[in-house]
Amino acid sequence: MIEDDLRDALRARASTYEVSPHAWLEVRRRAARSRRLRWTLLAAVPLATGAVLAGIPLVVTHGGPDAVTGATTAVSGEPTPTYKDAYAAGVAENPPIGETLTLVNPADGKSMLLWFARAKAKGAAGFADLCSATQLSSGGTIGSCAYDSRNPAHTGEVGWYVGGTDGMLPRPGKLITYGAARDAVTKVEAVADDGSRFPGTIYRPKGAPLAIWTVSYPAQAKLTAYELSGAGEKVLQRVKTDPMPVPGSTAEPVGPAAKLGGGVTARLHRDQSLVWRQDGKVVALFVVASTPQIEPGETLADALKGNRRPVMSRFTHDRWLGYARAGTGRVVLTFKDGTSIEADAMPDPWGGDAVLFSAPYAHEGDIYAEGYVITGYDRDGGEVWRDEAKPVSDLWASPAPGDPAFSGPAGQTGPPRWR
Amino acid sequence: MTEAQVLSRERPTFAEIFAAHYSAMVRLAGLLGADDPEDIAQESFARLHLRQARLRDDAAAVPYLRSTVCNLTRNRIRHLRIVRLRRPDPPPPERSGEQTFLLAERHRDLLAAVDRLPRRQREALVLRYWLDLSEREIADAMGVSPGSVKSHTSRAIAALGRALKEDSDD
Repeated sequence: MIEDDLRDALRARASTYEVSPHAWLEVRRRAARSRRLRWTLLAAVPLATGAVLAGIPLVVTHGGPDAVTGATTAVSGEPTPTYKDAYAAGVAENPPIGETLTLVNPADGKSMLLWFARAKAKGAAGFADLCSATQLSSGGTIGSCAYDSRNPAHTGEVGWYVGGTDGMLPRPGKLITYGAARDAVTKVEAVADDGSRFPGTIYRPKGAPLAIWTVSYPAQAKLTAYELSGAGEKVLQRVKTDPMPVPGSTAEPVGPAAKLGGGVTARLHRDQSLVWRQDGKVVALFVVASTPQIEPGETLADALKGNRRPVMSRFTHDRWLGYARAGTGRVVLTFKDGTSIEADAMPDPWGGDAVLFSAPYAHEGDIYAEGYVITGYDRDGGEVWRDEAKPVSDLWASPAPGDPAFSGPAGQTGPPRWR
Repeated sequence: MTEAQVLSRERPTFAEIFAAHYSAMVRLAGLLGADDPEDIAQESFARLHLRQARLRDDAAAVPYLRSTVCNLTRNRIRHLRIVRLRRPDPPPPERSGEQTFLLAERHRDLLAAVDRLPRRQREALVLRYWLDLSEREIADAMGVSPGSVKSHTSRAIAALGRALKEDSDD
């Protein structure tokens, strides 16, 4: 029967198509590019302490108007890097329509600046993009102007989601999301799968074409929708949440997961993602690469050597974790006040000639603003390396404590100052 | 079985859909004649991510992917055809020894005949005999009526029969 032969033949041919181990990263990159089409500026972010925003590792060099993301490497012992100002660059390219809104990131108290700008994308003439510039706690800023390529006019919608810190790694303890709303919207609430609700705020920056809604909520909440209500508390629209792809990796693991105690595991994947989980949930992700270009097969040792760092670490809201040079038996994190925490190191199980570590982390204050030192010791207790993180200064003034937001005048030369 | 099922009572996440269906979409694009099946599959998933919240229900994700793979492959082949009008065809891609082994002798003539089919007929055959889709599902993926699917499929089978007979006569 020709049909049976056809089935066999198609099955045989199908089996010859191979799948790239980097496919998931590439899909995430494309998905993020679709959603946030125009990035205004990616300012310098130290790779060692940089965040991963919206599931995209910060590994591409030199941000530009079309760059997905960007990073430079801070080398231990060099002067504190000078960070570019994503807001200054953003408003230069995308002048604000109306006032700029300053929000407080509930995770770290840093400023997030939001403003509307004239949409530039093809087919979006006459509409407004909602632009943002976010200060990262680890230093540097990132910015973007978002528009919806499917429906730039948002026909039939009274409000929509634009962005937030919900795709950020290391996973913050508290998240903030925001979007745009039309005049009819007077109230916003986020709804979680267990029925809990998180009330948000509607801001109406003077001169802006639309209102801005924001919602803060704990990271463990699993949101299902945002409810936008109008007069008489009538729900005008439910905006279903559309989370970014899970910022982990579906690429094949290189080897077994490393178990570091406290429910923490680390696993290296063939797309060079080093994914850290705590109680099964992704809490941090490193891109293991010696250069901004991801090369398959590089080891942790290659990444350390290429970045000229003895250690790569991250702080989640309750954990310090990372990897360091081979031969390290113990790592000690020393805060500015002299107090410290330490962790035993274990060899990485992927033959990468490096060690892994993880320890509970709790610290009052902003560790990045204070600066810190990480010291590596060998099994005999001798110091083998030292990595100093210089204090990172805020680029922008933060709103006064207790005040949730601030609208500054349009056309100002710098970011709005709280007054 | 060419596509794994997402066995979850909760709404599958985008990552789960990717894990379950990515390789099948690469293969579908390849069987439809795409010159870079992974590029087609990745673009299809990126578009799904953009639209996932707007799909009518969870079950619509995979049909959406199939349809996007068909459309993108069709556009890509059309583009290549235009490009080839301006420059000669590149040499055929070299296959590894393993691939050559997998494509056993008896399949080669048949697959060569499939490659020569008109685009719609090829789509209908691949969706029917590789993915085992129903006429309605094939119609959705191709953006045509079920009646057209029936007609494309029967013409394709007839054309394959003729091609194989001619080959054996030679």
